[in-house]
Amino acid sequence: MMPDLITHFAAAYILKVPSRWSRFRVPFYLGAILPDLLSRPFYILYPPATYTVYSLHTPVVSVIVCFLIAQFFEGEIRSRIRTNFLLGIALHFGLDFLQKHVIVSYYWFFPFSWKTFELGLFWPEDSLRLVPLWISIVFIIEVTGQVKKRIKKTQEN
Amino acid sequence: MPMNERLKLSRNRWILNFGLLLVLVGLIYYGYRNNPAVTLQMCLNAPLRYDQKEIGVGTEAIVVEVLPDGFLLKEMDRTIRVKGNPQNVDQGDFVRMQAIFHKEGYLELKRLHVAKGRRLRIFISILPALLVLFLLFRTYRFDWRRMLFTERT
Repeated sequence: MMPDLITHFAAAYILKVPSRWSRFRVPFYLGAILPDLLSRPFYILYPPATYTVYSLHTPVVSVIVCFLIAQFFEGEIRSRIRTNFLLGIALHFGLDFLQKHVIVSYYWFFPFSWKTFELGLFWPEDSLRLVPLWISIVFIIEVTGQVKKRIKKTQEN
Repeated sequence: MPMNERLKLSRNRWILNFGLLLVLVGLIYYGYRNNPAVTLQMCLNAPLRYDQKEIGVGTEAIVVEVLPDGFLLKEMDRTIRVKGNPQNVDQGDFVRMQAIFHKEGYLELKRLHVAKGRRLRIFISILPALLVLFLLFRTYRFDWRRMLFTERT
């Protein structure tokens, strides 16, 4: 149970707005949703798989997956892809850490410890209420960016 | 870069990939075998062993019927009666809870969270996943010959 992917994506999008960071924004976005992509589809579609795939939603395993995926990018950009993936993953777990659950949530130190804890600020479903706000912010930033680009292009011509 | 140097780099990359994959599979297997959690399925399979055990229930658990003194819960195709205050539970709700398992085949509710809106959360989560995949293939091109993503110019 974690915030919906729109919340995760929007948080990543808003953090990546400064243009100097925009070149590697896609791996950052992917990192921000990766832990859920790796685990959720499996146990939602096939609940008995829960205890097989839950480890894919842990920091250590996500980092290994991130290294593995980065290996499939060109050598010249690989380290920057990896860094952005890792930052995205950190953002994902940062948001997940804010939640609360009635039962075991995340094994932060897997495979070294089975201890689980979180800040307990909101329930996973609470993020749904803010989804329209996130979509509006992303939309406004995107449209503003496009308008600025067009103005700049027109001025250059 | 000379051909033999390129081949060596490529071979090293595949060795590293194989190593990472091996570690990944090992960790998934370790997690599967060693998770200390006691699940409802384990309790139902060995009721005497887990009698009076406090457990967490919430693996896609759905309320199938609301009763005056609790509700019927379905988890992984198995149904069990839950005794306790049904609060704001409705039929079809996803729930997560802490409960005490009784060998007679029921759960005594301790703490309950009704995951209202879970279906919507799953549904809307598909959109950003598709968007990021679209952006990935718009920004990078996959070279099947080299098995590498390269930046589109």
